[in-house]
Parts: sequence; structure tokens; C-alpha cells
Amino acid sequence: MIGRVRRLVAGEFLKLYAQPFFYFALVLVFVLTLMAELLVPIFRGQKETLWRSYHSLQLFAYGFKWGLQVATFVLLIFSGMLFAGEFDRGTIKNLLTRPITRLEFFLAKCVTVTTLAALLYVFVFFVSMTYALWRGDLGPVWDDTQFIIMRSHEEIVAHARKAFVITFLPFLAVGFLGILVSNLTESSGYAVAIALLVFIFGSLVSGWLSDRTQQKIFLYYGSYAFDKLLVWSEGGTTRWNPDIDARRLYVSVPLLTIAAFVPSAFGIFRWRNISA
Amino acid sequence: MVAVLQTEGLTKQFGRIKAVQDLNLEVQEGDLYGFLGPNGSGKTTSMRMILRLIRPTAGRVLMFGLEVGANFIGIMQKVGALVELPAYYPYLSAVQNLEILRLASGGVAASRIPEILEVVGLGTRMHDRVRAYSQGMRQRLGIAMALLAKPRLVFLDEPTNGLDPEGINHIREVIQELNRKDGVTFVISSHLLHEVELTCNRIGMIKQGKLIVQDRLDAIISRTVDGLRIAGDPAAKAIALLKGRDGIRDVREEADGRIRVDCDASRFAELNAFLVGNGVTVSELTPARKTLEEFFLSQ
Repeated sequence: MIGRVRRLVAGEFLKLYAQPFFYFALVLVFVLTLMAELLVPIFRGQKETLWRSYHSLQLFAYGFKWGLQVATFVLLIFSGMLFAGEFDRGTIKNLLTRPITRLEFFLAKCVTVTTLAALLYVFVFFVSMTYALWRGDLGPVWDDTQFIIMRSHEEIVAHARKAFVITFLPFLAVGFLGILVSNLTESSGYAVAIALLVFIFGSLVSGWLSDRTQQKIFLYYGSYAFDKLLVWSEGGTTRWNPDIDARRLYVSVPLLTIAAFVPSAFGIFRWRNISA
Repeated sequence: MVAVLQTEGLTKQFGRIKAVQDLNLEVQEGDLYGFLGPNGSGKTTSMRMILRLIRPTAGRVLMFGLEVGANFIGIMQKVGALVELPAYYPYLSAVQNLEILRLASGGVAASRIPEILEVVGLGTRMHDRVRAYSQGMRQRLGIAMALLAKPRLVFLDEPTNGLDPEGINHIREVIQELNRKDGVTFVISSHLLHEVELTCNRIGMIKQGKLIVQDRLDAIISRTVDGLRIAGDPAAKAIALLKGRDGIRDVREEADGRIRVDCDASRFAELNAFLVGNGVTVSELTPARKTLEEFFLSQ
């Protein structure tokens, strides 16, 4: 079974790498990540002085937050097309008449989404971090009027590490949202449109909810983590929500979301008649 | 002979519509089985049920003597299929399309891809994107997909769709050669009766979801004989003599002057002797057959 899933995943990546849109999407993520690091400090009126240049982790926070937003859309588009695209083209029948089970096929798609999510995550990380290290300075954050250290280097790095960890699982959950929606329709266009609508609508609506309610929605954690990091990298202080920390909600909420999406998507796929 | 495919009471109901009813197919090893029926008769639905793409409402499917549901992986290693229109990734080349299926199939050497593309006549265009292929080339690619893993049993749904006469002939030769040389069994679904007649040695006919005939092609052809065509002199006397005869359903003169007699094949020798005995010179006496199409429509 593992061998068959592994081969199917290899096939999935062969398809992915051959799609021009994949490279276009990577370029888009790259450009927007850099633009965020270049332009956000300017729009926010931050100026470099002789004593204080941009902090690398502040630039990283800008870049990673924006880059990840774009990567989220990319992940949603690709995961939304994963099943619906096979139905759309009819290639699902070619694959399901091979010696593979529907479970293996489904698992291969899940592994593909997880791997793609990890690749995009690492890609955004490297782009934003590379530019941030080149353009900004590491080390403590100085107060440029009193020349005292406001935040130590170790403090900021610890928060950057934490923000990085908190963000991955919610990002991955978006991929599984795409997989679920991809099984609701046989048109990849509709699937992507529905997935994007659900995501955008969900993000908007969750913004109106109370903090406590928002914490139960996986969409909350991306902005939350990088907003905190920004405060620290700008020299301010803010506490991580003790509730979220104590109960590791940034792990349990997205994992529970994935755990809800996966069986629902598989149930639909397993019982569906293939008439494509 | 071993039945490589057997369906028992296979039924599919969509709401109130019974698309396939109590289908009992039997395909023997080495058969070139033509699965005939008009559009919408249930051929593709039957194939999809056999290949477990759709769930049957009732009945079961056995391949190589084993129930497909419980032995899917093992069975599908020996099966290839082209169901309805060929499906492909248009942004990939034929080689890449087949590579994906090779990975999914497992145990197929990479060298098999150019080999099978040569067989179906796509050797010179194998690295072109499928998007640029003509309808006929896409159909050939679909057949290559079905034959990729050197299957023992191949399902081809309307395999000559979109092919020109040369292409149809080529694919027919490929099918017959694989059957003859390697003993590959083919189940070919089609609404083109003439094509099936030229390719297959065993036929199942489906009409409104029901199997109406299943037999060897030669046996079916013998059942299509429904009378005699006689060149007799004098023709008018022959017609007059035959008209009053028992067991003769109809007698008429055809445009070329021959006499068409509708009767059972068992009466041929007796009628010949009767005409000759009554002074009619019989210079030609041939069985008159319905075409497979006429036979199908009469069922």
C-alpha cells in the first residue's frame, strides 16, 4: 500500500511540475513576499537611521505574513483542483481502473497536499528570510532616542520561532479545505471558486467574532502569530494568549479541522459513482 | 475454456430508470468479445460497473474466476480499460501521460511507454503535448493507455471513435494481433455492428439494458439466414410453384431477376429438389442473410 501511494504521489508531482501555472504561482508568491518586505515598512512610515536599521525579523514578519497569504490562495487553488480536475478531464477513470484502491488514491492526494503545503511554506520562509537577512540587521531592538536595548535578540528569535510553528498547521488545514471542496463538485473551476469563496467569506466573518470564538477557527492563527512577532520585532511587548498556549489551540484546532475534513472528503469520494 | 469475465445478475437503477437489468455476460479467455448495442442501451454503464467505477444496484462481477470487489488489486493488474472518451492531461506529452499511469500501475518498465506508443502509431509524436493531438491521435493514446500494462483482459469502449478508415484498420490489426500472438482477451463495446463483425468472434447484444443475444459470431450469423435467393428459369413458373408451398413465408422477385424466398434453412434442399423436379432450371441457390444490424433490430 505504501509503495502504491508513493508512486501515485510521484505521479501527482509530475503533473504539478508540468503545469505552467505552478511556476507562475511561485513567481507571484516570490514577488509579493518581497514587495511586502520592501513596501510595508515604507507605508508604515518606518525610516532607517544611522543607529537603527530595519530589523531582519520585522521584515521577515511582513514578508512571511503576506507571502503566506498568497501561498494560502495558491494552496487552495491547487488542492481545489486535485479531485475535481481529475473528474473534469475524466482522468479519474484512467487511474481508478489501475491496481489501486480509492483509499490509496485519496491518501496520495492528501500526501501531495501536505507536501505541497510544506514546500510552499519553506519557499515563503526562505524568500522572506533571505531578503530580511540581507536587508535588515539581526540583534536587539534599540530605542533610537535613549539608546537602550528595548528587546533582546534572543527574545525576538524565540517569538519568530514560535510564530513559525504556530502558522504551519492552520496553513495545512487550508489545503484540506480545498480537498473537501474538490470532492463536492466535478468541475475544477467551480471547486476552486467555491474553495476561495468559503475561505474569503470565512476569513471576513471570523474577523467579526469575539476573540474566544475566533480561536476555535483555524483561520485565526496565521495573522495572530505574525502580528505578535511584529510587535516584538518593533520593540514592543505583547503576551501570547495564555489560553492558546496552555491548550495548544494552534495545534488542536487545525488538527481537529483536518480530522473533520478528511473523513468527510473521503466519504464523498468513496461512495461516488465515477461517470466522468 | 476459462471465463475471464462473468457478470451475474448485474443491475443498475438510476432512480426509476433501469439502465442495466440482470446482465449475465460471459467472456472466455482469448475471446474478442463484441458488446453491441445502440447509444444509451447500457453498454458504458455495464463497463463502469464491471470496472467498479460505479456501484451496481444488484449482481456481482467475477474476473479470472474471482470476485472483483474482494480481489480488486490482483485482478486489475491483469486488466486494461478505455472507458468512453479517452481522458488525458492536455498539458503533458503522451509519454508523460503514460508515465503517470505507469506509476499508478506498478511493475511496468519505463521502456514499455515508447514501445506501446509505437504499436498504436504515435511513435513520431510521443513527446508532443496531447493538447496538439487530433481526435484520432487522442483515441490512439487512449488505446495505448489501456494496453500499457500488458493486460490479459482489455475493455475498449467505442475504440474506433474519431479514427479515419486507415486508423480503424490499424487498430483492428493491433487488437487481432495481440489476441492471436499473446492471447489477450478483448471486450469491445460498440454501436458499429459492422466493425464488431469484422473484429470479434463472440458477441453480446444489449438493448434497453437487457442482454438479448450472447453467442459466437458464426452462430449468430447462421441465425441471420432467413431465406433463399434463387436464380431460376423460368422465374414466373418458379414463383408460382413456390407460392403455394408449405413453410414458405414470402416469395418475391428482386430487381436483379432473382427470386427471394423467406423460409427456414431446413427447407433449402427440399425446395431445390422441388423446383428441379417441376422443370425449373436452378442455376444459383444461395442463403439470404440479414445484416447484423437487421438481425439486431429484429430482436
